[in-house]
Amino acid sequence: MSPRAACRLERLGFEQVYDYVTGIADWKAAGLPTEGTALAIQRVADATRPDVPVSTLDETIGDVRQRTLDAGWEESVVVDCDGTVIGRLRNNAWEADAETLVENVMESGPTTVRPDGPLHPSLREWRSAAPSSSWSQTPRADSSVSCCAKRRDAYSQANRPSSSGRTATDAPDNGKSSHTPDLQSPTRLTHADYTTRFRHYRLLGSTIRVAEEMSTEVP
Amino acid sequence: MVSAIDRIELLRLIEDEDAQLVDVLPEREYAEAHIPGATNIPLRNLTSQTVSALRRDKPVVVY
Repeated sequence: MSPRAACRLERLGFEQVYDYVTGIADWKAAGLPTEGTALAIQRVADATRPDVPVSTLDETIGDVRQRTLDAGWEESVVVDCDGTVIGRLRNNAWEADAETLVENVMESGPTTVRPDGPLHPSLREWRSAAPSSSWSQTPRADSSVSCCAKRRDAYSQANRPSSSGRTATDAPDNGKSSHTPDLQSPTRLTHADYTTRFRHYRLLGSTIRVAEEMSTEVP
Repeated sequence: MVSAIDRIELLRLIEDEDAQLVDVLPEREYAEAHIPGATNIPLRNLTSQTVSALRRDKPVVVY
């Protein structure tokens, strides 16, 4: 549809015409904000944070621990030189000697969820797939991390009334996270807010993904 | 000539060149979800009258 529209605009005299071929589906798949009545459906992206601390295999636990705690997190995502997620640090890893290398104490990577997926079904899947996990990530198609959701934050977001007035029936778990971010409702996002996200995604160099239909199912 | 762009180029056009976004999907689909700031001009309504509000000195991105 958009190629025909682009051609028609050209015939109408517009000289700078571009066709965003993958359109709104690609936009939503990247977790970028949208406007419209579908905002009643909370997405995984609504409960994620882009400020997840990352670390590399050759860093020491002492350095990473300090940086992670200073940022208000209790976990760190371990990435390789290309930014691909290969593991994480949490719990006992922080008790290791300060000079211990990350690669010697990291564990396997966190659960992966799609940012455009509906939040409530994702929470159920998250709980059944990784009952001991306290958080999950929402990576890009090339597996490099874009942002993370702590389980406690995700439940908090899911239990907020949506614009349709519905809330989740799941109770929050007993996550030990001490930092609960101010997760804005998409309906309150300003132009400046999503411009900031644009910049974030530009820095990360997002790749194209195809969105799935969002479910209206609520637990 | 029309250029096909990806999301990264779209974001650059919005940020750097104040691009105008035009959602050509039907009104109902636009009402459900659209990119913030996009104007809805369904394909079937795309005429010289309906595009008169668009600036010709700025890029126009359709989706």
